[in-house]
Amino acid sequence: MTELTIFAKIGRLLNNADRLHLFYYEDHKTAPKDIPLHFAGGDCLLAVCKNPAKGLSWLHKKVAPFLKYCEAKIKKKQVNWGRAYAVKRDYMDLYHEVVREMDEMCIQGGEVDCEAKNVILVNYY
Amino acid sequence: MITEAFMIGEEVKKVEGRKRTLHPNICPVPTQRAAWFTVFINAQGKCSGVAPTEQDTLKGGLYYFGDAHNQWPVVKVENKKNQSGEFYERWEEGIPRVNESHAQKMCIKIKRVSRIVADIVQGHNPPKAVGSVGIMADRMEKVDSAFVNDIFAKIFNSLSTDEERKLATKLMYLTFELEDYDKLKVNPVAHRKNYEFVSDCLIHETDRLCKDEDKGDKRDMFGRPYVSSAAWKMPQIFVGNKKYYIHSRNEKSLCYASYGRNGGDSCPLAFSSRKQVVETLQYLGLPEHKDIYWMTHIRKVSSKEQKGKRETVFTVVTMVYSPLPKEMMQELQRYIEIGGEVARLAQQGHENKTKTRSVEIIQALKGNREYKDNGLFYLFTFEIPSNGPSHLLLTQTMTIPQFLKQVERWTHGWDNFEPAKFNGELTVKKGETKPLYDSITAYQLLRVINNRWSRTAGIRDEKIQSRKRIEYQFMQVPDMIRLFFGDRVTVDRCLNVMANNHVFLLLDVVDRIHNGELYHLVGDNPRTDIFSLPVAIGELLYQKGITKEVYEQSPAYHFGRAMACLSRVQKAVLKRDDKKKPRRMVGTEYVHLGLARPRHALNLALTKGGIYLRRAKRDRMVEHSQIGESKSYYNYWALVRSLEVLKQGLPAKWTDTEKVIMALGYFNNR
Repeated sequence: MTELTIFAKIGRLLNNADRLHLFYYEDHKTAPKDIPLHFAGGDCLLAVCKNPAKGLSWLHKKVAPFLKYCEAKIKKKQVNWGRAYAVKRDYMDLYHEVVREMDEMCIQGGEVDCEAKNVILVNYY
Repeated sequence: MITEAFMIGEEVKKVEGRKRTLHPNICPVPTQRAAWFTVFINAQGKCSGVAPTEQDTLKGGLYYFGDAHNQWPVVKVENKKNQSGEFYERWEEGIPRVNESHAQKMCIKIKRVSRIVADIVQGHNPPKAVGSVGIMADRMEKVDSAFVNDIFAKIFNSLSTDEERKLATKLMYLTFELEDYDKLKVNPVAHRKNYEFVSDCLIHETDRLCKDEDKGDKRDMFGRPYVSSAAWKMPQIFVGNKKYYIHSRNEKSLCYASYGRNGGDSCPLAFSSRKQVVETLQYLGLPEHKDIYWMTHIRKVSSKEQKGKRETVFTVVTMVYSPLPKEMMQELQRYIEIGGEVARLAQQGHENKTKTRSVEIIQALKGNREYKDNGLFYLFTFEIPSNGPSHLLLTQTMTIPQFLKQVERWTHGWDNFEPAKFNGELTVKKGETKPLYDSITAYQLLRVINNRWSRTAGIRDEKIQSRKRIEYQFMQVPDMIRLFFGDRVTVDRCLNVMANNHVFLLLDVVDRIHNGELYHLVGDNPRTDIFSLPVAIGELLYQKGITKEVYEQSPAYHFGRAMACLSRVQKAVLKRDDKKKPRRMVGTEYVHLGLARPRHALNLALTKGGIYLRRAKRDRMVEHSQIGESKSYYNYWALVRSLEVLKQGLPAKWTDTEKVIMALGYFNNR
């Protein structure tokens, strides 16, 4: 079960990535058609299920611009900076935790098993 | 079985106003399709005319004295070939000529049996009205083969169509009657009062034999004196219109360890005991007691059999140590439900009344003072097959309060399934809906379990639209009664059958509805199975001790629910994007796999359906952030709630109970 806990955290991390993307989208949208097909977490979901280490690194690259945007907002104390702080903190804390635990458990490459995938998916949705 | 019939007989004796039964030698006529004619005989012993027997006479109960070979006054004429040749030797211009040997035999039989009956009647000071019996015997003394040919000539002359002639040639029943019975001021020969008088005479003879046996020093198995068990062969009894024989075990039949030996000697019976057993079975087997005390049941051992063996099953409740009110016997019987009034109401389409009627029966049982006594009652079920020995299937002893408790428990089981608001009715075809049943009797449950649905024409085969239904006698009447009394082993067996067979139907039905194809499954005669399956499953789960509150929180239910919600989310997303719906939704595709491999199925469903789920999640998040709620994504919320329960993990395989719960979850949320 301890092994499965890490996958539950991965699922929640993807969910936090979605929240980060949503925050960025709301501030940058000009028309309803600007909405992306999927948010960041959804985009990387399959990749993470296939290979958690690679998938997470790809996720982090994807959300980098959003993190940067949040940092800028917090620094300048712009409108809604409190929410930016919250979503960024939620994502980063969980990300560091997941990376650390993956290193400890030596989960590097390769596809995870069915049960683990289920845990990721269920926790993401 | 004889012991149980004897015990029931002790109670039947106390039933007031019970209908008198006829002596076993007086039998109702068969109801098979045949040509019926009444032959009138004049004082010279000649046939003065023939007429078709009136339907009122047939329906009123025509009887004959005797057996297959000796009958009076109704004689069977079948065109059979024997050593002497065909019955109708030749035909001359459409009129048959009866084989001389056959005609002679017929005359001898008619004369002999008429004389036997007349002698029986004569010895008991018959009233004048019954004098027709003696007069008929005297007239029959004069008949000969020319008389027989005359009868058939008159009959075939009166027939006009080929169909009538064909039927008459194949099988005919002739009732002999006096031409001038009204002038002689006597009853017609085939009159009920005549039969009753003959029956009384025969019963009087048996009573005399019973009194003679009082002097015997031997005791039978019931403690009654008897003289000799040499000729203790049981006479035949009639149940409905079918004849059954009760006979002792002989050396060729299998031996019961309890008796230790074969043969009539192992079970000596005095005349009075025999009489009691036969009268009891006759009382129970009256036509008006069909589906109250007895039912015909077809036993099929495997699905390959075209027709199973037809057997009569008696289920009787009888009180011991106190009188048995007639109403109680009938009410209890109906409640145990071997196809009584409550089931008939359901079959006639009055499903709403089934529940009301059952509640009324319970109130009636509880409200009656006598029922509150702590008297014991026995429940017997035994069967009499058409060939082979009769045997006991089930006995059960309980007190009245125990029985009432079980009755109430069964009734509570109906509330164990509550259809979702939009799933309370199924759309059979466009514009036509039919509600799900809200109650089910033990007999209906038996019927549901016994229907197998083949998996060959399933949803994967797009060409074949319907499933094939096979009737398979998996559960018998004793199983039904054990189920009613909540026997766990029987409940588990039923759940096993449901899990391996009926869940596919349940899953199929829902998808057919959504494709607008339920009509192809049910056709013009909607099969009640589909509409009673959910309540049947609810009842079985309740009998197992799993209530609605428990199963609705189980992972199996939520798995089914998740699959259903997944399909709904997919449909909503496609509708939003204005795209065409595929033939098979993601949830539908993987719910069947989920029965065998739940983890794998969930993984595949969430992966393949991910594209829609991610879209739904995205839209939900945007809507929620804009307006504070996401009304349009109820299905997504329902899915998420189910996934919350599934977070705890799924087993590698479901048990039978869980499979059934899963199907219910899918059905109720689809």
